[in-house]
Amino acid sequence: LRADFSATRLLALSSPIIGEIEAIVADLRRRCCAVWFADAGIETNDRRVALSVDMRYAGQNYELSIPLPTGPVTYATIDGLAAGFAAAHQRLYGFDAEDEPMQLVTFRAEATGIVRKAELRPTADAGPDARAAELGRRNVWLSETGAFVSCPLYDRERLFAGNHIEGPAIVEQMDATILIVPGATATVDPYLNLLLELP
Amino acid sequence: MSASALNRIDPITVEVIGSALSSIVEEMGEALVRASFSTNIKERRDCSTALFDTRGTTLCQAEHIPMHLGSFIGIIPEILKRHPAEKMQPGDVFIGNDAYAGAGTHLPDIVLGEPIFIDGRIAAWPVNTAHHADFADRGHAHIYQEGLRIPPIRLYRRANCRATCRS
Repeated sequence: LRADFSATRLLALSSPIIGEIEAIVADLRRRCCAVWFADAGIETNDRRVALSVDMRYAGQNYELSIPLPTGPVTYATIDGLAAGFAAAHQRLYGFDAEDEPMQLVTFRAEATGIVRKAELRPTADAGPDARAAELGRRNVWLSETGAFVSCPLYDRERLFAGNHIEGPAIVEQMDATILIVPGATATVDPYLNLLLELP
Repeated sequence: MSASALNRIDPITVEVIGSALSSIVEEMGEALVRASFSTNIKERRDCSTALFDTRGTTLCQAEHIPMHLGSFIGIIPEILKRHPAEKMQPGDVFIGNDAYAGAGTHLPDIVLGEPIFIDGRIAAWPVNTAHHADFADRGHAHIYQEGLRIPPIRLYRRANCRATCRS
């Protein structure tokens, strides 16, 4: 489970900004831990926060994301950011501009909560009869028949493992409409997937 | 090339090599824009990149500014006319903006070229042009009003900017 937080502050990279960086980092950590992790119910041991800063040379328009050195914010943090940016610039563009002033633009926190993988459990077989899911019938024009045909409509939420439908038919669900063309069949598998077999 | 020689060229190989060259010049342009400080480059992207072979023939030019197509087509032959290739070294960079010496159509378009060495020999030339803002422009009656006219000269020697060019 992951969420991203950011704080944009345009700062020149220099030692007097140590206090400002501390305050921004404390605020990002608070938004990750006291707010988001708490809301999402992530236990203390399962919380990870990765901090980075989007940096550029003053005058550029494109930033590079540089990991914020871990530990308390000190002069070493400033040096670490400068070295990290120079190395990233060298790696990406083939050069770095010695003595050019650097800027910090956006501070980012990536909050990751370690959670158990969702378990998929097969559901019990309910037999082939799908009539319990029928919503009604509708006249539908199909290119296969070249005319209107009466199609049964099914509710996806009420289709269960083992249910079997012969086309033509229509399955309606919250986010999609599934057309089962004449000659095709649909079967619900134990994980509630709808398996369509075309003629 | 004779018809039989043409038939022997595998069209898939041509496409693969052509696409590789295209991606090189596209990446060059992206690095130029993203690393630049000039508003005219970082916002307007008024720049182009290309690869030339050792004789100075264009291999590939990126689809950046259509007006730049072919505008610096003569730059490598003009550099080679003035600077013997056998005396070039890795890290040498050449500069020029004179339309009468292979570079650009107006003086603000400054062209840079650097030979790539593989095993001690020049293999190709990456070249870029970028429209520099605030580049004189006192009128257009004649070329001297447009700005500084730079013939193809060596700007960097072994990755060091030459003091005589700077001052």
